[in-house]
Parts: sequence; C-alpha cells; structure tokens
Amino acid sequence: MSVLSITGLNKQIGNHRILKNIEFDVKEQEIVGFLGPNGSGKSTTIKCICGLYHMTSGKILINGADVTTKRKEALSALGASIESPSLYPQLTGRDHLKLMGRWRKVSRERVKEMEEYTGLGVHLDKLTNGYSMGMKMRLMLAMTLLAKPKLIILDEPTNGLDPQAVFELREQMEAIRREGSSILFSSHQLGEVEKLADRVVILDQGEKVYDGIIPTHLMRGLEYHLQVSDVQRAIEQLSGEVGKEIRVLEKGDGWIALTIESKEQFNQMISSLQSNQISVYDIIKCEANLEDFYKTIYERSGSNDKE
Amino acid sequence: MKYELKSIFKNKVTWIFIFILIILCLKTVLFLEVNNFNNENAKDLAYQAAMQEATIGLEKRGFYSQKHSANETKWFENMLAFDNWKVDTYRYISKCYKKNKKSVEKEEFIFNLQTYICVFNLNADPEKGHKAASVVFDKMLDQNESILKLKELPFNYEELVGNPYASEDDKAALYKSSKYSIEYNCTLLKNYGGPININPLWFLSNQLSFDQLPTVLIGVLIILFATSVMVESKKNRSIQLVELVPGKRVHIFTHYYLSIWISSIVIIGIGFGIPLLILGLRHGIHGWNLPILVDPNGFLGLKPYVHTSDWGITGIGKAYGGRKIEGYDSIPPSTLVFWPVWKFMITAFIVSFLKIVFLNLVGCGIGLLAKRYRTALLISVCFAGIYGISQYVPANLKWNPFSIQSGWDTALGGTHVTWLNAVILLVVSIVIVSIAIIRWNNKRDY
Repeated sequence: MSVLSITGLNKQIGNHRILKNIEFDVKEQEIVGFLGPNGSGKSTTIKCICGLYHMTSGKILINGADVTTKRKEALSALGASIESPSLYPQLTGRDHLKLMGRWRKVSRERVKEMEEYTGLGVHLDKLTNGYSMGMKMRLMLAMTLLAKPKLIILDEPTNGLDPQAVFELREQMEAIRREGSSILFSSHQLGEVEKLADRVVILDQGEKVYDGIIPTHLMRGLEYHLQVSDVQRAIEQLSGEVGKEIRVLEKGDGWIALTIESKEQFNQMISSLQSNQISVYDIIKCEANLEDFYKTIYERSGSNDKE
Repeated sequence: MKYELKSIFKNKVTWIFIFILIILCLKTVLFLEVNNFNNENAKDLAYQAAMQEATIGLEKRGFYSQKHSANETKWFENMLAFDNWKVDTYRYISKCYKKNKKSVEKEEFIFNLQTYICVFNLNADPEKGHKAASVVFDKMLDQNESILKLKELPFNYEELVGNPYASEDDKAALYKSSKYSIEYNCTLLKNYGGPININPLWFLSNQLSFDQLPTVLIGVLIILFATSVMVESKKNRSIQLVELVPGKRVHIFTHYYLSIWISSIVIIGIGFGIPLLILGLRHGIHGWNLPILVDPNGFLGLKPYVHTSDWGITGIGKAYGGRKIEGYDSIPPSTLVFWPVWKFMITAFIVSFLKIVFLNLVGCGIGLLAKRYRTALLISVCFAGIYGISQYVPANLKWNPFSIQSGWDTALGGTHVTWLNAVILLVVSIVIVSIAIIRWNNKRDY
C-alpha cells in the first residue's frame, strides 16, 4: 500500500507551468530520494504534498487521505522538515517538543522519549537560537517523529551538517524506516542518496524524468579504461567485437574507455588486442555511480528537448 | 498558548512596544502630579466673577429703567444680593486657589451646592408643582444645616422663589437640571462628606479622553505590534511549524490572532497598570461608585449627543460633583439617571475592547497575507496612518471604523457616532475583515 500517492499533479502560476503531470508514490517503509537540479520543482512538489501550496490539478493522498479535502487526516500522517529547520528562536529545545506534543496530541511519555532521542542533553534547556545546524536538525527530526507519522518528508536534511552529523542522520533514517515509517527526502548529496534510497524520483523542469531504482550496473555495465599503444587500431579492432560505446578519453597518452557486459568479454578484449600487436599498458576498472546515472538522465532529458 | 506567548514576550520587539506605552502613560502621570490646575481654576473663577458682574450691571439697568411694585423690587434686590454674593465668593475662592489653600476644594464644593439650591429656588413655581428647596430637600437641608449655613448667607435664599422674569419653559428646565445637580452633590456629601478623589480614574480619563495623542498612539501601536509579530514568525520561519499542524487552514490565522490579541491585552495592561499602581499607592483608589448623571437613551440611540455629565475635576482626580448641566436641551433632563462610575466604565470598556479586537485583526491580517516583510510593514504603517488621521478628522468618516474615538469618549457621548453606532460598526467591521482574511488565507500558497 502506498503511504504517498501523487497523480496528475500540475501547478501553474499565471502562464508558467511549474509542475507538469507529476506522478509517483512512496510505499510503506520505503526511502525514496527526490532529486533534481535547482528550479526543477522539488520544493514546489513537497509543498503541494504538505498542503502548503494549492495544486492547479491533481490528487495527493497521504495514507489514503486527500490533502485537499481531508487536510487534517492527511497531515496527521505526515511529519515534515522543509528547507532549513523552523524553530522559535526564543524557546528552548524542550519547549519545542512540549509545544509540538500539545499540537499533535501526544502523551508526555512520548515527549520525554523524544527528548532522549534528540541526544541534546543539557542543550535541551537552552534557547534554539544558540543551536548549531546539527542540533537544530536533531531537534527537528525529533519533532517530526513525535506523532509517529507514516510519512516523513525531509527537504535537504544534510545541508550544513558536518560529516559526523550526516552519518548520524543516515543511521537515524534507517532506524525510522525499520520502525515502520516511509521517508521522502531531497538532497544534492548524491552519495547520501545512493547509500540510503531504495528508489529515486528525478525531476527536471517540472517534469518527472525518472522514477525507479538506481540501475547503475544496468546502465553502464562494467566500464574499463585502457591505455594502449595505438588508439586508432584498438578502436577499429574492438568495435563490433566486444563492448559498446568505445570512446577516447581526454586523459591523452592512448587512453580509451569501453563498456563490456561480462568477464568473458574482458578476456576476449585482451586477446584481441594482443593478437593484433596492440600493447596494453594499463587497465582501470570503473564503478558506475549515481552521479553518472544522474548525468545520463539529464543528457537524455536534454536530447528529448532538442528533438 | 503558554509557549506562543513565551515566544512573543521573549522577543525584543515586544518589549520595545511595552516601553513606548509605559513612557506614554508615565508622561500623563507626571503631568497630573506636576500640574495641580489651581492656577487655571483661579483664572476660571476670576473670569466667572467678571461675567457675573457684567450680568448684574445689565440686570440693574433693565430693572431700574421701569417701574415695579414693592414686592417685585424686594424680590429683585434679594436676587441682586445673591448675584453679588456669587461675585464675592468666586473672587474669594480664586484667591484661595492661587494660594493653594488646602480646603479650597471643599469650600468650592459647598459654594456650588449653595448655588444650586438658590438656582433651584429661583426657578421654583409652587403653583405649578415645582416646590421650593426647603420642601423638596427638607431632610437634607436639616441634616446639613451646619455645613451649608444657608441662613447665614447675605440674602434670603427662600425668598428667591417666584422669579417673574424668566419664561415658563426656561424655569422648568433649570428647575429640573439644578434638581439633578443638588441630588448629585448631596450624594457626594452623604457618602463622602464632600468632593472626592477619583484617583486613579482621573489618569484613565486623561489618558483616554482629554489628551488625544496617547489614545491615538495606542491604536497605532496595536496595529504595528500585530504586524511585527507576524513578520517575525515568517522571518524565523517558525510559522511553518504552525502551517504543518494537522487542521484546517483557518487554524493558522486563529492561532496567531489569539496569541497576538492576548499579548496586546497584556501589553496594555502593563502599560496602564504601572501608572495606575503608582497613582493608587500615592493617592489611594477612590471613586468607583461615584454617581454620574447619564441619559441611557444616549447609549442606544443613533443620534449622537453628550449624554453624560462628566465630573468637575481638579488636581489628582479630585471631584466636587457634577457640573451644572449647561445646555440642558442637549440632554433631556427627564431621562437622566444616576449610574455608578464603574457601570459607565463597563460601557466604555466594551467599545475599547472591540477596538482592540479590530485593530489587532488588521495588523495580524496584514502580516499574515503580505508576501514580503517590507511590504507587510509598509502596509501596516499606512493603516496606522489611516487610523491616526481618522482619529483627528472623525466627523466626515461616520462609517469608518478607524474613526471611532476612545471607548471613554464614545461612552461620554458627543463623538461623531453614538455608543450603539460604534459597537455595531466595530462588530460588522470585525466580521468583514475576519471573513476576508480567512478567505484570502485559504486561497494563497504559503
């Protein structure tokens, strides 16, 4: 069952279409990465999900409740932190948790539990205007989890965090998923998304351009960089025999790159070069990653635009 | 609400507003403490003496230019003696004020009561049922003979009855109005032994009525404060916490409005409370049950007129009874009743309360709906300006809720709208503005 279901989401302001028919969902206990360059419509989509923006058309269901017609039920199943942490600078961390506990109608025991969860210790009784970004993030996360929401939305949660805080956040997100919540989070830290997300949804210019797992191994296969004695002859020899997309690398000094499907093809490639007196001076195996995948998506998206 | 109020009151902006209000109020306290009004009273009485002398001259010329019977002459000369006594007493009391004599207010009070009794007799007409003071107020006169000393006056107050020179209508009206004045002052005499100190109500009436600038500034402060709280919550993004609370969108507006409104009440309470406490500790607290003459119809009618008799005041709220109801045709004497001051203050407070609700709505709505901080503050300043200007030129702006004067002035009467007008106008404005804010808030993107 989907915790979040978005169908036909359109947002238009004047003549400018900001979101164009966005559709995706988030399943139970799923972590979905929400990617896209600046201005792609991620924040607008998130704000539509949270009921902060009106949709021009479309439907958003959170735990089965329509955000437009059953706002209270929908937001009851949602916990969100949008952009930077939103806190009252003149209140303490403890005040925030008690306040949120009152608004969300949770028990005092739960509030105390979340006070422990923050790990802020004595800092809980200090004003939040003196908190570091990491401390604010921890407090926001605790406030978001207070009512045990089914869906948690985190917009750029790693912004301003040091590596240790990022690591802790990642662990916390995994723990949240284990406890039964789903997470939709946006980030420009592709490495973090790659480590955490089960799936990614990618937007570009208001449109969804990808929704699925991160198929880096499918997309790129096994890529190798070879330094050979004769680039031109090596390309002629290998084209058609092994691999796809053989290209000359800009490194210079006889480097080429090619993708092969399997280890058998690797042997075939080496044998082919040697039998034609083409020396292989160096071989580097390249792991494909989300960044490459991301670039590929945008290259495709750009090509589609030109067409 | 505890945490929301804590957040508002820990904000420096809030304390700036409190500070400004306290300064405004303490300025009034200082004014009251420093000015004892004795010099002004002295001048006023000297003027009255001069006017009375001129009147005597006219009366004499008029009377002696014609022939009269012996009785008429006797009556006239008795009345002249009354007028001359008034001139001498005005001058005497004027000198006492100049010398800051301590008992001057009591002496003036007794003099005024004596004058009301004489005027009452002057306009009595036993044949028409308007009996003399010795009949109508016989018990009071007996009980207070040693204070009033009417028989020691240099004229015969009982022989003032039977004025042949005034019209029947004038006599009837003055008879009734002076009757009220006697009743009012007798109440003071009976309950308080004379003029009373109405401290610290005098501070309130001065702050909210006589000195218009503080009244106007309080309204300006309310609008600006409400907007600034909203702007602060948007700047520090704490508003997003409220926006994401499960509930309808209207909750966002009501949440902020309620906390801002309560804060305004607290700020006004602090701003007014400190001076009231100072005056109360220094001069005591009196006057809540002071009788004030009121025409109740004036509250519920739609035609504005002065329908209450304000008390005469000197010094720190000392009252020596209601003034004569001059211009009696503005208040139908037959409809006058005595109200205790606290009852009057409740009617005044209703208008003040509605004004605070309305002005907070305006300020809160601006802060909530304007997209940019500077736009919000600019619009707020504009509305504060509209309010300020409307306060000074209200006569042409009958349907403008910003033009409604202070609750105190509106309850007293004589403003451009009646009390009922003001209440209806404010209630309707509150409803319209609330609906507009809620609808706009529901439609906008946050």
